[in-house]
Amino acid sequence: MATLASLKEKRSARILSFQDDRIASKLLSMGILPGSMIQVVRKLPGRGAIYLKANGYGIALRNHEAASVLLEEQS
Amino acid sequence: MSDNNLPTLALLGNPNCGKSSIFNILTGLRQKVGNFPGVTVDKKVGITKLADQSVKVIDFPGTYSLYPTSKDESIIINTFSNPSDQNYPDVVVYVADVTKLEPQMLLLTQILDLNLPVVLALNMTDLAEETNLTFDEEKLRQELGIPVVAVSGRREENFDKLKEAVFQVYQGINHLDQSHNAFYKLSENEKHIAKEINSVIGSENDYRSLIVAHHYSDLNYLDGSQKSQIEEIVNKFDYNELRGQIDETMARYNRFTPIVKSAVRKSNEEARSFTDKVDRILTHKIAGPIIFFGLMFLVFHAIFSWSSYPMDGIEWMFAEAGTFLKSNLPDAWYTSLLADGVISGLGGVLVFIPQIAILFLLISLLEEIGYMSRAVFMFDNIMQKFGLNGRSIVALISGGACAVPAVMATRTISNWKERLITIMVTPLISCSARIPVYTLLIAFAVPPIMIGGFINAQALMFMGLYLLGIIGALLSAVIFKLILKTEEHSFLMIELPPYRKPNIKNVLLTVREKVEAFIFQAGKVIMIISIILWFLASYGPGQQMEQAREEAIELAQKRDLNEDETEDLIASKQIENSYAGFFGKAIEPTIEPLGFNWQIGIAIITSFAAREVFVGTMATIYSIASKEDDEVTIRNKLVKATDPETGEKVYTVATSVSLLLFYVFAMQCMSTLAVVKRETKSWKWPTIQFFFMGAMAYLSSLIAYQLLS
Ligand SMILES: Nc1nc2c(ncn2[C@@H]2O[C@H](COP(=O)(O)OP(=O)(O)OP(=O)(O)O)[C@@H](O)[C@H]2O)c(=O)[nH]1
Ligand SMILES: [Mg+2]
Repeated sequence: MATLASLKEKRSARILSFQDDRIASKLLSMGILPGSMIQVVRKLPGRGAIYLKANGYGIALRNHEAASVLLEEQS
Repeated sequence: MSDNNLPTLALLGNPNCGKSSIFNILTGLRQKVGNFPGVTVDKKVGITKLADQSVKVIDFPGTYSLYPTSKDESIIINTFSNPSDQNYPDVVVYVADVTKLEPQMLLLTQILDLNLPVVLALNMTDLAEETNLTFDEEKLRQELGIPVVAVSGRREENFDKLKEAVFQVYQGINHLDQSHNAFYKLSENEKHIAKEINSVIGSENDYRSLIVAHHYSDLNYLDGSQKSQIEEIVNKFDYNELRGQIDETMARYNRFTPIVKSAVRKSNEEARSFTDKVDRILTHKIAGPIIFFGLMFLVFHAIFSWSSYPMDGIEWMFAEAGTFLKSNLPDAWYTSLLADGVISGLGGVLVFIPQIAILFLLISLLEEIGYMSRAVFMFDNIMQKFGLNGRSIVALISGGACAVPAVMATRTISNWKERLITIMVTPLISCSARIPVYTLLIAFAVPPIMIGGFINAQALMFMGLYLLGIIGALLSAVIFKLILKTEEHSFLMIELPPYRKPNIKNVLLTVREKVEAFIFQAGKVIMIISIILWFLASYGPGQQMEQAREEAIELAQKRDLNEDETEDLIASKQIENSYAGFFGKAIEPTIEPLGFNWQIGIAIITSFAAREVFVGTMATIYSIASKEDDEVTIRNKLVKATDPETGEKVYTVATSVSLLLFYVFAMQCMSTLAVVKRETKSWKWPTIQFFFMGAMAYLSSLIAYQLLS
């Protein structure tokens, strides 16, 4: 299953669902919903934090936080 | 004035949308502003006038929705879901950054569904103009059914209009009654839950009860039996909270997205293009951290090198003032009190204003531009290894200015263990109050030479002391990490706001405010302590002072000293037998292994009020102890300080280094201890902090002195 943590730098994908309630709640609060497009702006080395862009927001997530966001398979 | 009976106006909105800027304009107060989500972590109250009506204005922490994820945000849910809360608003000014309106409609429609009277303030219209974003206030007004006012917190535009609209809503005109036309229609299941909770908490608003169903365990105003009843209801209907939140959020988006689309022209994405370009460099894997450390180096360099001329000027002024007083006032006790006590105590400290101003200037510039959250992003991974959170870096950096606001800034860290560790170690970061002590003592520890022709050795030592503080903080963080246990999950999850031009006026006001606070707060403490010290050093128990004087004269005759030398000997013998000498002597055995004499002992005792008092204390003690007519600066006084018995210099390299180390590590700040007590809600943590920092200070000084002497 593709997760946000496995998405490459500069690539975008559509969110399928969330597996972690806290992360989900925060992203939802920013209007980032299942079905929203999300882009990876930067990934820090050594499983560091990931800089994402969605719904006009820049957001930083930890690697394992991003892993809890499932993505739709790219067609 | 009691403001409890005044009507309440709440400023609410997403993080970083400009609430505090608007609060400052409305109330004339100076609430901290910065381009970082979560600058405001506690509600702040002020007063403004609407027509002739005084109202209480509350600046709340920013939140994205009524589903808070950190402690600072949960203040909001406690207030807004409880109409009997003393801060429950009579009218809400919902502040929205017009450059990204859509996501901010979520919280707005939630507040409207709570049936609160709301005025929408579209902020940052100056930015909208710059980026050619257009919006239709009239359209929003029609679609939302509430007054809409476009303002600019930066240019202070349209605040009369805003006040007028608020006043009308307050008087009951233009209030949209949302009870029959809620933005979110509860599902059947949710309606049942809401109905039952309505009767438990005595509510008539279904949405309020739904919010209570989500957050009841965090709501302070519910008692134990209410909480267990609500828990039963939630379980009975098998309510899935996350599913509920997703459905609600999507339903709301479906409702307001078309409204925003029709009223605002411009996509959110384009607005970030400048920010994206800058971030390509500033958050770069390699260049990013290098730039960060370069910036930090620049800050320290500036503190040390930009400040020397203004410091010389201030020093000269106070020396002149002292000389003037002594030569123009009669030789009486009050002249001595003024010149030796107050003037020299104050002068010794106020000389550090330039350095403090530079430090605050640079740190608030970094905050205003929006750089802090990038540092959080880049260093989160490393911070975790020390048991900290990326957000800790904000506390650690602002701890370089002052630990008190830094400790408060930790509220944005939702994990208790990470937050506690950050609170515990932040005071180890060298704050501005240590600057005076460092600058004064470095001169004795390191000669003013240039290493390799261009690196100032004293500046290097200065940086070394800061570095030592940082290392001390990180090492103690690791130890706390190993000792403290928690099951709680830790989160990063932070918004990276767009870069903004710094508001120079804001920055300068912050600097002025900090400098004023330093002058008045430190000044007050120093004044009081100088006076007490002057008294303690000028008078002694019983006849001891007189006896000391006679003994000194005898000794002087035996040694065949000239008049000046005799006077000095008398003075130093007298101070030794004064009350101050008595206290200093009492702790001398404890601090002797560190190389400190009883004069330094007095200064350490007074430093517990605040570190910067050290310099003033030294100035006072040595002014009284030398009867020269010329007022010399405190530095010169210390250079001359000798042990009257052995004739050796007091401020040797060993003593100075030992003393410096003591001030790097020791917890000598009552304000910080008080704020730690408040933030951790117990005396346990400030007590632990006091002792572990004290132990670090004592041991490092001991080792340094024993090695160097
Ligand atoms: N260009 C522009 N910038 C503004 C305006 N109002 C506020 N700002 C800037 O936006 C940033 C955030 O402002 P604050 O007033 O701290 O925002 P806040 O809503 O109190 O933020 P939190 O306390 O973190 O929730 C600061 O850098 C302000 O200088 C405005 O009208 N125009
Ligand atoms: Mg604020």
